Amino acid sequence: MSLAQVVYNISTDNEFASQWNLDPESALADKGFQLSREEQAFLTTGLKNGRSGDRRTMRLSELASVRRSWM
Amino acid sequence: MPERIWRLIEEVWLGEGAWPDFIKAMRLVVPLGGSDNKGSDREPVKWALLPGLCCQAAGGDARWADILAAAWLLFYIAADIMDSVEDQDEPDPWWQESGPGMAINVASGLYFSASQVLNRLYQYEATRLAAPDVTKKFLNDFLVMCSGQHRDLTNPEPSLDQYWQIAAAKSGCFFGLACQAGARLGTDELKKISSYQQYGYHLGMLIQILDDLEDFHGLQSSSTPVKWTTLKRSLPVVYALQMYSGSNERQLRQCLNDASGDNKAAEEAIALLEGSGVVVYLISEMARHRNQAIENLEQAKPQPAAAEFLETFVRDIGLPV
Repeated sequence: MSLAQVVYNISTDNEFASQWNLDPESALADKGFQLSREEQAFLTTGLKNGRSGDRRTMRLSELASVRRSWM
Repeated sequence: MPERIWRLIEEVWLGEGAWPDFIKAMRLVVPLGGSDNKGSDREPVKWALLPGLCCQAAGGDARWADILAAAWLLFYIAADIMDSVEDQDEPDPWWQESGPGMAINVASGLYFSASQVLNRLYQYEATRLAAPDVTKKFLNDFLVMCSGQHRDLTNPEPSLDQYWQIAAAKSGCFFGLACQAGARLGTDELKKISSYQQYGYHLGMLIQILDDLEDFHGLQSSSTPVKWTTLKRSLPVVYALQMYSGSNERQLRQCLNDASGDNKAAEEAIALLEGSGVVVYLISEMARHRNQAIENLEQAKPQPAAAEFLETFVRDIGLPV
């Protein structure tokens, strides 16, 4: 659940998102969230790759097309 | 898929009393060779390579796992048919006319065929010793899978934690079984066998996430209808409903209910889902399962030739995760 909560807060709370960008550890501590180092790495991957080539947030349908190319 | 696996299934059908017209019906859904075959979905065949690859990777001969590959494939297809009937999906063309009774009967035939195939583990020197363990594991894991399916059917709106429990019991367990059973034929080192099981488990979870995304592909193409009833139990919706509260949650529920016949509601539902950060969440979870699959594969110290294939299964996901 923690990973989901942190993703949700980054996506819906600009202040938390800015704080996360500057200092993830203190952003988590201020909200009382706990993420393992691994989870932080997975989230960093999610944030980095959840954007399209033009840097806008990737659409669900675009992510779904990944499935088609893989399976 | 090696031809010998197809022959093994045919041998069981012909040798164990199935009638010709029933064999013809079962051939329709098993996507291997054969002139009657109309199966177009190649995915199960690809994943049925897992027992052989894990057996080889663990130090055995891939051919020792032919029996497992055949049994696992038959179980996979049978479970898929049962899932379609239980979820009241649109019927496949082959059972559209005769109804779900025929689908359930063919699925039952495939379950019993798979059990007969598994019994053959006792016939060969290379597999005889491991046969009791492997057979027990197949049956135990099927009970777990049925438990997961029961919870899925009785809980139309699972929480996020419940979603992951159900996914683990169904997809994670089944793919873990393919890899664990294959590895068991190649080695008796428990730690290695467990690493292959974990590799398969995480691969299965990755496949489940991607399967849940499949219905969202229809949003991009007007030719593919979006199944909103299925979407309501998909990971993106479960995540967003769990995260949102108050007016956003109410609005999302309303839009999901209206989406089937109302394009504006459908667009609003997607906007709400995307606004919750669901894409980042899914990619983060995919990264988790991909990394853990690779980590477990490395811990198993696999033979290089088979390891390359197993690693490709999880690396070639199309995302730079």
